[in-house]
Amino acid sequence: MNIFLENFQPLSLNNGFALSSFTFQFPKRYLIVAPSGRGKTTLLHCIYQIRKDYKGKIAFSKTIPSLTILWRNHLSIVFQDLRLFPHLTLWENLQIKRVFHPHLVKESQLLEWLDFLSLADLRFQRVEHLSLGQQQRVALLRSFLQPMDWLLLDEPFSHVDEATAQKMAILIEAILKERQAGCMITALQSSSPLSCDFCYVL
Amino acid sequence: MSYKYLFRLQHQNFPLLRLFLFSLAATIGILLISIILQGYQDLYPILRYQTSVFKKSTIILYKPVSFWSNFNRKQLFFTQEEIEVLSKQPFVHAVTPFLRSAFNVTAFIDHPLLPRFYTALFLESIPKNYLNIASWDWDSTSKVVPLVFPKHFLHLYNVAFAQSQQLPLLSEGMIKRLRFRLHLSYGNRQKVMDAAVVGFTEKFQSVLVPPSFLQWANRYFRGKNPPPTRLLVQLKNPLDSQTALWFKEKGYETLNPWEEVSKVVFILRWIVIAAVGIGGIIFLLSLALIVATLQWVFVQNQVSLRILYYLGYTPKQLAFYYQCLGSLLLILGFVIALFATSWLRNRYLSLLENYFSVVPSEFEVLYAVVIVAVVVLLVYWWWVFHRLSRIVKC
Repeated sequence: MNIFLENFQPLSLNNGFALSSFTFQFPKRYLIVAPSGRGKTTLLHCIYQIRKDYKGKIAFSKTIPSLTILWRNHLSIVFQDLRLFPHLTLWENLQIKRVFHPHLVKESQLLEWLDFLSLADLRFQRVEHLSLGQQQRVALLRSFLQPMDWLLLDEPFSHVDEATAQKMAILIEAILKERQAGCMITALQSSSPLSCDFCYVL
Repeated sequence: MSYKYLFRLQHQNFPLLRLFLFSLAATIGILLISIILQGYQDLYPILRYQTSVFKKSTIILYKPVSFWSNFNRKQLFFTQEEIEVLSKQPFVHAVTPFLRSAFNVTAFIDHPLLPRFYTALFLESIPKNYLNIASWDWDSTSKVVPLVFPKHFLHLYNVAFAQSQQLPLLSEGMIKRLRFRLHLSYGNRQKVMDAAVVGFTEKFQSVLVPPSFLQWANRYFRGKNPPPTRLLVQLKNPLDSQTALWFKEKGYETLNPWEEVSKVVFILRWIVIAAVGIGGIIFLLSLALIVATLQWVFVQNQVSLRILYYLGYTPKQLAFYYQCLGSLLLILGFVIALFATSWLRNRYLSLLENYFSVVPSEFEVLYAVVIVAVVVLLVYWWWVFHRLSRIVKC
């Protein structure tokens, strides 16, 4: 599923960017680099269809009947502010997303990932008691629990050390291959633990 | 799809106790309305048909007498037109004018063994079906004119008059055995006839004769019947306060304590309306509190609800928990109210059975409460869904 942007410009930004015509080719990987406040997050939120304060058009090459279907089956996102449920446990935070596709990722697979990211022992802890870095990993794992055409990652490595970032990159790589999905990553610098096809600086 | 984790999330920080208390208040409102309506439904027929004061659906109507009436006696007459207007009123079942005598009447006892007795009289007549008397017929071949006497007159005679005048006391049976003579006269014509008291009445304070006799006598002495001054009116519902208002407007007066009764019923009805109104206000206020509480819950959980929406939950799925819980509390309230109503009803019915033969009407409030419950629940489901959609989509 390609994503087309036409005369796109976020409205809420003073020094924001504008794209006259741009296509996110499926299933390529895009690294979007910009300093804070340029509109990286806004761009992802606009593509994810949870913000409408932009000029121009965003279109998908597939017809998608509803936003719910878009979010359940086509786009998966890791929010910059993570948006986990602090009063639920790590495990419940994953399950609340997994209910839509309970057979996509087996529980043993999920446990393996948790173990790989050093979260297995924490799975019955409330998320509010986890560190930001740990929460970031939970949010990443949550985004793996659905079918997807695109994985949108909003500064996914901002709160973790390099070693952990590498581990996360390995998992992302595996998922993108398995699901044959494209990826957009936003970052402050042009270096990323995940290899990308294109790098754009806004 | 499993709702387990969604419900667990939504259950956190949910003010269950507060909502429970509000639905209890709603229950009290429903209970108040249903018990009062059911009570009215049960008591009304008893008031209407089984108490002596209320069951008088026949009243006597007349026009008030004043000093000025002396100059225009026609004021007291009911015209044919007026009678027709009256009988066309929706609350009137039937109108029967009293026939009255338009000639002089004196009654006397002409018996060697009895003291001489002589009195001037007037005669009135009403159809047989208003009296419980067997021999109430007269035709030109009859030798004796049957009379019905007011019980009250005999009572007064025995307790006061006879005592003061040293006259013999008379029982009903004795009087029935007496033969009176009636002396009828007008102008040059006169007639003397035999008469006998065949019965007594508590309802009518008048000396009554059969209509056929009075019609014959009026024709004989005057050529026609005089216009009526009193009407017997059968009402459809003596408790209808509108009836009294209508009579008042027309300037008619009635002989029975019936007007007072209709005032009592009028007040009673307003008390019922007020109580039902208060119940309704309690019910609506508690619904408003429930709605306000849920609104607060939605705003409080706005962030979580939006995240859930972005994760792929539909507003319908998000609303389900609040719909179920609210419905459960409301249904519980309705059921408690119904059971309480039914229990209280059995209590007062068994109390009433000591005094009246109670034929309980159906438990009709049940249907009304069920219909209200269904409507309230439907509106509630729609509102929760609508509210949540607005909150997650904005």
